[in-house]
Amino acid sequence: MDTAENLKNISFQLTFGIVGMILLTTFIIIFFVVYQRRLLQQQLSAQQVEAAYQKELINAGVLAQEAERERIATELHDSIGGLLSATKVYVANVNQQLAPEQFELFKTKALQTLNENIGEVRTITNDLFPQSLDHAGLVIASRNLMEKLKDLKQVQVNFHANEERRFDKDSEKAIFRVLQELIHNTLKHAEAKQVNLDFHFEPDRLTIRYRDDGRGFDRQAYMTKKNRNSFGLKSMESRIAFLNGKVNYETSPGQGVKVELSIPLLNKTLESDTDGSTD
Amino acid sequence: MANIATYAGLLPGIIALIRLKKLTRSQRFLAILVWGGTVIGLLAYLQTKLEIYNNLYLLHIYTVFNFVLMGFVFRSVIPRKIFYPLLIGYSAFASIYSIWIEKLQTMNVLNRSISAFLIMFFALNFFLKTLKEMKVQRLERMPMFWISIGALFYNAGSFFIFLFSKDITPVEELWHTYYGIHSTFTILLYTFYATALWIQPKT
Repeated sequence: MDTAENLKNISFQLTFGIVGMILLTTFIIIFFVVYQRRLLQQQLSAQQVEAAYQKELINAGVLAQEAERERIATELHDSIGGLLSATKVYVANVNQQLAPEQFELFKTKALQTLNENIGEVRTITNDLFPQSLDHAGLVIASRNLMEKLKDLKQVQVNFHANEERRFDKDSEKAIFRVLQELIHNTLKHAEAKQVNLDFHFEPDRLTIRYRDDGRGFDRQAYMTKKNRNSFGLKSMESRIAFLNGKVNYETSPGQGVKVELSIPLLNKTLESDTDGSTD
Repeated sequence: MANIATYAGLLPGIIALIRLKKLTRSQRFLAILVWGGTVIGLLAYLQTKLEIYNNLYLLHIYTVFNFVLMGFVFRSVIPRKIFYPLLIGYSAFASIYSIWIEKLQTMNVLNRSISAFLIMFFALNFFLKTLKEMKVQRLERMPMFWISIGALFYNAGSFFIFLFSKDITPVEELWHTYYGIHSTFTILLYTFYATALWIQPKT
């Protein structure tokens, strides 16, 4: 009786053990396969999102370039073109048969429009690429830009930089373009009363904080409605991404705009003026 | 079922021979294991035919042989520091235990159970590593995936049979039942091995 009972026990334990182990193994394998597939899918979606983002950035870069060309063409046509046409008219009218007073008048007018032409060319080239950016660097050029903003719109401007460090020109140009875009947006849309710009240099990183107290906007809606103007923001991201930096853009209706740019400066510093801050 | 299990190694063995030049390192160790296992199985069968009924010493040899080769198959998932100590340590322990403690003419309960447990650990480690690395896109094109599934099913299913083998051997009815179950797991194992040897690894 004992032996039969014992055998029954062994048989039960064995069957129970085998079935349990097989169920456990099946569960482990199914879990592994499902989890692995899900992780792969997540990885793939993340890659797709990243690829779409990169594509958007490239598109934004191209659109920004087109817009810049359009702007230059308009400026040339409206200002230089008009002035040159006027000069041509004055010069065409100058001949030896004219009375001396009239000759003098046309000559003076022609010279005047030529001078205006030269001034316009200077303004346009300075807008395109400020000489101060090349000679004095990003910090000084940005300070000049802020001064211009102050003169143009009578807004209160606060500028601060803990250093005037120079780094590679391409990066300086790219960052300057971003700041131009930010100021352009403030001028065009924000109706701001105060604009702050802060440069904070660390040994291997530059952090720029830009802030206006203007109208702000719903960024999410702005970016998702395929707004043609949204490429301005994307082109900023594109430029900063090209420098391996990061952009943190915070805005909402009535809350102004707060932008933080963080750019790595590893092996990029050219010269440094660490005497003190610039206000 | 038991007869089929004896010859189950032939299918992966033939596949291994056909694809010999294209086999990866792990697949080659698996091929050696399959051929070795088949030879030992045939020897055991031959001895039974020759009426040498106690061929259990072959099981002791096969247990060590199987563990060492599975070690080499799963080498990439076993920490380097413990690889050789584990293989040498187990082989030495199993040999000593088989010869002097359990005796070669009896079932090797402890050695087989430890071996099954460690091989399951190798297979689980492979799953864990694959999940951590996330490099594999197509699991079904990976021989190690099939080897691990086979090893996990066989060893998990047979673990309790190994553990109770001394108790069930004397009872003919039990022995036939569980030997049949074990044979089913063996056929399943060799089917997975055949798949693992057939496929060309791709990630």
